[in-house]
Amino acid sequence: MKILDCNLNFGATNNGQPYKNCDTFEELTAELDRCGIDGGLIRCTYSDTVGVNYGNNFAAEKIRESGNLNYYGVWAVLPPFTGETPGGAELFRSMKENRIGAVYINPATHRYVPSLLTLGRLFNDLSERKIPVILNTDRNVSMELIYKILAAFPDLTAIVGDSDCWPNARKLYPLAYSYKNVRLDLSYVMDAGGIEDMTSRFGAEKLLFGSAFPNRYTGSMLAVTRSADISEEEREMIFSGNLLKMLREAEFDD
Amino acid sequence: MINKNSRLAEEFWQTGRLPCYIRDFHAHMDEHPEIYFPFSSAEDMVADMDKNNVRSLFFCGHFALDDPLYGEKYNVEAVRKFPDRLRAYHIIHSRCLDPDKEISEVDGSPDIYVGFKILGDYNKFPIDDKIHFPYYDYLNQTKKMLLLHTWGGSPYNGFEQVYTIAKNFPEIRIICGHSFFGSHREAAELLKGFENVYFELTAVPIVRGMLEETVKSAGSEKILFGTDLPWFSTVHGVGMVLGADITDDDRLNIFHRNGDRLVESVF
Repeated sequence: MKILDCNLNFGATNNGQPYKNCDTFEELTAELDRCGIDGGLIRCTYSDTVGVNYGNNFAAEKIRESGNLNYYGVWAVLPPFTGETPGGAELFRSMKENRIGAVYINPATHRYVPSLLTLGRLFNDLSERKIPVILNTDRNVSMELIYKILAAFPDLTAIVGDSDCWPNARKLYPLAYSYKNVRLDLSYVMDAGGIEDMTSRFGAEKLLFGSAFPNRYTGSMLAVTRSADISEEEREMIFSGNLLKMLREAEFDD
Repeated sequence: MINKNSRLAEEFWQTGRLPCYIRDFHAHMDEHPEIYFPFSSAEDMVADMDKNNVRSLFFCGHFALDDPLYGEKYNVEAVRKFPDRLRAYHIIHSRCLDPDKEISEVDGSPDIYVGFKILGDYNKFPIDDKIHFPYYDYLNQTKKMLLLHTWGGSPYNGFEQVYTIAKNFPEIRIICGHSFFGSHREAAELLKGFENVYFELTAVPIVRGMLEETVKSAGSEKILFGTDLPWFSTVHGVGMVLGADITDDDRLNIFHRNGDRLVESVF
C-alpha cells in the first residue's frame, strides 16, 4: 500500500524550535525511507524563514534532483500586488513544471492582510483549477480565517489542518460536512477513535494521512492509521488514494 | 513500517497490534465540556484496551477531576465494573481538602485505588504546599502512587515542587505526568538521582525528539507509558514509541516492564 504524507517539511532554522528539526532534504528522505513513507507534499520552511522565492525554489530544486515521482512540492503564495512571486497562469505553469502539488498561505509571517482584496483573485483561480490549498493553523491561519475563506470560496480544494493538540472535532467536522472539496489533514488528530468516527460520519474520502514531520513523530499517525477499525479500501484512500486524486484533478494548463 | 530498525514495529505493522502488552498509567474517562470524544465510557475504554493489548489502565475520571463534591463515585463505579483491568487515582482538590475522609477512602479500598492524583496548574495551588502533606505521609508509609500533572516552568507543579516532594517522601511512587513538558531536560537531570520518580509520556508525542532526550538523560527504566485516554489514542502513543530512535529493549521497559515492577501487588 502506497503511503503519501500531506504534511512534511524541511529546512534549517535558528529559531529555537522545541522539536528535533529536519535541517535538510536528505534528512527528510532518510526518515521517509526508515519509516516506510513513499513520499508526499513537501514544504521547505525557508519560504517562511528566509525568503518566499528562496524557499519555493529550494523545494523545487530538491524535488527535481531527487527524481522521485512520489515527491510533490508545496509553495507559499503571496498576494499579487507587489509582483514578488509568479502570478496567474505563470504561477500554474511553473507549478506544473516543478512538480508542485499544492500551495499554502501564511499571512502573519508574510505580513499581509488576508482578505478578498489581497487573495480574492488568486483564490478564485485556485478554486476553478482545483489546485489544493493548504490552510493550516500551524502556518498562522486561524480557524476563524479558514471558516471565512471557505465561506467565500466554497468550492476551494483545501487541505485543512488544526495543530491544536487538543481534540478538535468541534472545529473540523463542520467544514468536512459542509464543503465537498475540503479534506482534513490527520497530522494532529490524536484523539481515540477519531479516524473511525470521521470515516463513519462523512467518509474516508475526506481524510488525508499526515505526520507533521519533523514537528511530530512519523510513527504516531502511521500507527493510528494502520490500526484504525476501517476497511482496507478506506485505509488506502487515507494513506494515498485521496491525495493522488486531488493531484490528478488539479488543472495547471490554460 | 514505522521503523525498519525495530522488530516490535515490524510486528505491529503486520498485525495492527503490539505484540507485547502495555500498562497505561495516565488516563481519564467520561465526557468533558471542552471536547467531543468519540468514546469515553468505561466500557469504551476497556474495549480500546482489548484492541491495543493494554493489560491495565490507571485513571482519574473527568467527573472526579472537576466535581470535588460528587465526582469520585464515578471512579469507583468504573473500577467495580472492570476490577481486573482498571484502578483509579483518588483526586486531591487543593482547595477542597478533607484528608481524613479521603485517605480513609483510599486506604479502605485497595481494590479501587492505587493512590492519589493532584494537578497544581488546574488548582492554581503549589503541590508542595504543606497542606498536602497528610496525603503524602500516607502514600509514603504505604508506598503507593502519586500521579502528578507536571509542566515546565510551572510555579505549581514544576520540577522544584516535585523535587521537594521526592526528597521528603522517598517511598512514594511519584509519576510525573507529561514529563515536565517544556523543561524535560532540566527535570530529568534534577530528578534522576531519585529512585522513586518516574516520567510519563502523555503530551510527549507532540514534540519529536523529546522521548529520545528523556531516555538519554533519565534512562528508559524511569519512563512509564501513558496516554490521557480518551483525549489521545493509545495507538498514537504506541506509534511514537515504536518510531522513536531508541532500542526495542527501551520500548519494552516503557510499555510494561517498568510498570510491572510498580504494580506487581495491585492486581
